[in-house]
Amino acid sequence: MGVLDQLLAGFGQALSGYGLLIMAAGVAWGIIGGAIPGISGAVAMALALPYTFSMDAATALVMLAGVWAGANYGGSIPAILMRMPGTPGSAAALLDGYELTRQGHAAKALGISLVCGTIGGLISIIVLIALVLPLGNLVLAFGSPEVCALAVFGLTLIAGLSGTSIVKGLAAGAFGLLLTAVGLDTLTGSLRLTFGRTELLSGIDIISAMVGLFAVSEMFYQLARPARRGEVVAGAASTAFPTLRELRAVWRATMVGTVVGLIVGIMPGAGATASSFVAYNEAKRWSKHPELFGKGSMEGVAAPETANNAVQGGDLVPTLALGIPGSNSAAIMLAALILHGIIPGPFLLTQQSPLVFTLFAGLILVNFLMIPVGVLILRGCLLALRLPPPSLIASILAIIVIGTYAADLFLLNPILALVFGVIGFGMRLTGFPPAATVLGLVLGFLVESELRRSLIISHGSWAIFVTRPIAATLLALTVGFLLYPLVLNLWRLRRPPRPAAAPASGR
Amino acid sequence: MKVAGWMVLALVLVITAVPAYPGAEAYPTRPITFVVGFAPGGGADVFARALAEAARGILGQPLVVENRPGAGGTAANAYASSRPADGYTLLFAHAGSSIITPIITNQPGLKWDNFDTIARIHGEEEWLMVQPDAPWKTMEELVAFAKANPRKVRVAGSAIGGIDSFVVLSWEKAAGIDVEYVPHEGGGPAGLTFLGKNAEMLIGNVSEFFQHVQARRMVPFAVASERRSPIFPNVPTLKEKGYDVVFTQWRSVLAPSGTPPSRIATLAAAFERALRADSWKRFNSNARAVDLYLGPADFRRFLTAEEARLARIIEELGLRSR
Repeated sequence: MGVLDQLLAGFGQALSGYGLLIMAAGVAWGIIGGAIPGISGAVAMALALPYTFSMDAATALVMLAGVWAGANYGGSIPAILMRMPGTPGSAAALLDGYELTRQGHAAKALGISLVCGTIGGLISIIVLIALVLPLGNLVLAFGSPEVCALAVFGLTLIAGLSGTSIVKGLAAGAFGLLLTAVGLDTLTGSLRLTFGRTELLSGIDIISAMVGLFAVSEMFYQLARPARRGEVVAGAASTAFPTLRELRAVWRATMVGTVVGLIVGIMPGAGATASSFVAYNEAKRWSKHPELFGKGSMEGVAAPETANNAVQGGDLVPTLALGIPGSNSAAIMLAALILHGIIPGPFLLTQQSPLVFTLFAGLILVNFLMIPVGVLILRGCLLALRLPPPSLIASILAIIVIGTYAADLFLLNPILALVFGVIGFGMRLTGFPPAATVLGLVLGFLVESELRRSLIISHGSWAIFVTRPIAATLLALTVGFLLYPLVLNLWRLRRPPRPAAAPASGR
Repeated sequence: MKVAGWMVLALVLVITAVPAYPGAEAYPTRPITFVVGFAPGGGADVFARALAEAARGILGQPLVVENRPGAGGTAANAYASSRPADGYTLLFAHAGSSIITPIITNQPGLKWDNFDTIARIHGEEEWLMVQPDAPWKTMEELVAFAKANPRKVRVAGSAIGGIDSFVVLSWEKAAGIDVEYVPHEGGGPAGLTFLGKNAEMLIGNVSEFFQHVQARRMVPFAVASERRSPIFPNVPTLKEKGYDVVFTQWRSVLAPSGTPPSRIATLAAAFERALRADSWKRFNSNARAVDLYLGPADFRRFLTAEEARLARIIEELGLRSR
């Protein structure tokens, strides 16, 4: 049987009325779980896992696929509406998404995120199906030096987030990098900067810090300037979803996001969060209107949201082809597969094809279900914007405290969120970009652990970053993109004096 | 009528009150909380859930898994020890969460000896693997090569402070060699480094990599067990090669200190029987794990020896925080 025949048989398995209902329920639960800070995609899936024990294997797998896809998307709803990322992967989308909400275009931003995310998810699954076997070995081409180079490449976004002062941007980014050093060092097992707190052994909870820097600081900001609070609520907020024309305008950003999401998804250890920030930066680089980024660009929502969802296909590559999960969500999927008798790994496609293709079919179908289920939930969420500002702010703070506490049941986490809220508020008043701190927080762990591991693998030689083609290319691009504006400026400075020195000095 | 009503009420009260008398051994009469120090879906969690499922049929009450992840598993220890010692709270524990992390982080109050031992359940064996094109056919050749080329052989494994790293460190000492240990966040990422040919050897459990062994992309070279493993009986133990290096990734059940002895006995017997349940056996063999049941007293003796041994290695590695 060819791949297509098997896939058709898979659709037959997944497409029962009951299967569709369960899938839709999975998608809805995923979106809601993803929207609550503290319930990550992996936790949403793990909570759904026990309910799948009594289902047949096909239904169980498509339901988990639904939860996974839903959670990837759900995090961006509060990110766009309230500047509160529900999952770390949705943090990049709030940079422009929340700006759009402030301008009264919440529904458009949410619609773009839903449609583009779905497109990204769909393409990545199709690529996965077409290439799962050849890609399996491609995963192995990405070792520690490559992932380290990718993370360094991602850090160049600091330049884009810095606003007026690059120095303040670098300082804010370095602060984020420093924060990732807290906790039990995952490589050597030694304690760093934990100040005797047990809760800090596993490091600063990333979602607590993000929610603090973005959402809590925003609440303080609004409370401090009550005159402007009308802006947030934008009582006249339009509920118009994006038009086809607007969707066509973000086409390029969507494609950039898809490609970035696929590549980063395949890289072991990287993931949704890193991919969304890299995609944001790349979309800005390739955009016709880079000046709009950070000020409410639809492309700035489309790219990270596409990448965030396109990671799913890439994530599944090591999971299915090697039996080694690419992320926490993929680990739960792996557990579910094994529970139902499918052993992922080199023999996956030769041994147990029917169920694997049911999973593939389910992954495609859930992406189609995302749109109707997503629109239904979005309509409900948009009502939140009609709340009077004091009630809205109080509810958001309550959700933040409960959500960050619920994740690990550490009282320290909601306290961290509030502390980071104060820090973020202070940073905004003094012109330090909190987004750069979040970027450092997201990539710091990758940069550090992969750098150290690369140097162990190379017996201490830095040449490993030059002799390995993928790592060398990524680092060359990093240097190139950093130097390009400098060179351009130098060239412009040098050129004018020669042909026309007089007008230049006359100004 | 009224009298009858009172009588019924009295009867109901008496019936419902009986289990509350401490002497009356109807145990368990309600669900038992099973505290797991790892996130849902992770390796330890999956084992805990399978064990809970097998024990439910024997105890007649469900074991409800409560995940308390964080702090290297010790957050769960702190939580479990704060709950009443009435046999309705159990803690899933392994060497990392009940010995190594409490020692490294100076939290003696969270160590295993602050709990009552119920049973050691099972374990996964520690395998040293080599690349299929490795130039060494025997342990003697490998050790000779490593002696002649210090730090040349790279061994991928999980983080330093885990059992993986202890096996390699002890083997280095016993064989008088010096290898480069490449630590990772877990067994899976270590496997990727090895499969990508960025390390000459891999240390870890075989369950994650069984298919790769079958596909001849990993070759088991030695096992750190007391005896040869039924999984690959042709592969020698480190011990028979003259290196006294014996480690397994055991998993176990503890209870808050002061749990009534009769309930501990009930639980220990139930877990021993649970290991014979079909669902558990299937799960265990799929995971390539081996049963390592020890009752409360034997398990306590084992832990005393295990702690002394692990503490010595932690001291040598200089891992303890000051």
